[in-house]
Amino acid sequence: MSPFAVLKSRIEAITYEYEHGDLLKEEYLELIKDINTANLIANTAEEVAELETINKLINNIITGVSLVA
Amino acid sequence: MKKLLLSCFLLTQLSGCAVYNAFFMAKYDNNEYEIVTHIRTIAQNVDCQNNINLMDSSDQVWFLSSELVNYTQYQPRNEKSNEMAVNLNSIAKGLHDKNGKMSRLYCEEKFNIIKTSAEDIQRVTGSRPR
Repeated sequence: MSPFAVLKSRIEAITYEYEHGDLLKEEYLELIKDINTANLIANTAEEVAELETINKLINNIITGVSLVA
Repeated sequence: MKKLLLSCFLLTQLSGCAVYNAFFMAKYDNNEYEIVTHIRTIAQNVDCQNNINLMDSSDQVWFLSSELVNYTQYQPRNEKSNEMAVNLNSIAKGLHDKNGKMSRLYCEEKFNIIKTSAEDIQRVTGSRPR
């Protein structure tokens, strides 16, 4: 399931609860905003994970070069 | 040798900025990891039907996420962590402001979002270079 699909299904589930459950309008709006914020966190985490991968590559090269030397 | 050549090739495909940022990125930090772990554990174990536990957990999550914001704020080359901490704190603030007056569903969803976000942060802070 793509991240977009996960996001969409969570919004739909909360919207359903708002329409049929005991969720107040104020709570519903706040949760939708929070899902968006959580998505921002996930995107930033993805960027950091990419940097970590590059860092590992650099360290591999440094280790490799010092082994060859 | 093949791995070394492959790594060199991959690095040449990246911009100088990305290589610089990656090389000088903030290292693994025990304290940062511990605070995020606390937040995740509290969010994971909250009892939304017990009002005392709920209020206590809300306060703790809000306090710890504020601490994480302050902790990461002035660390060099750690802007991304601070950005994530600020966002996590903004989620926790709503919970704290409710002062225990909330529907069960709101409580469950809110703590679920906090748990997921804390786990996302934990994953990247935990796998940083030592």
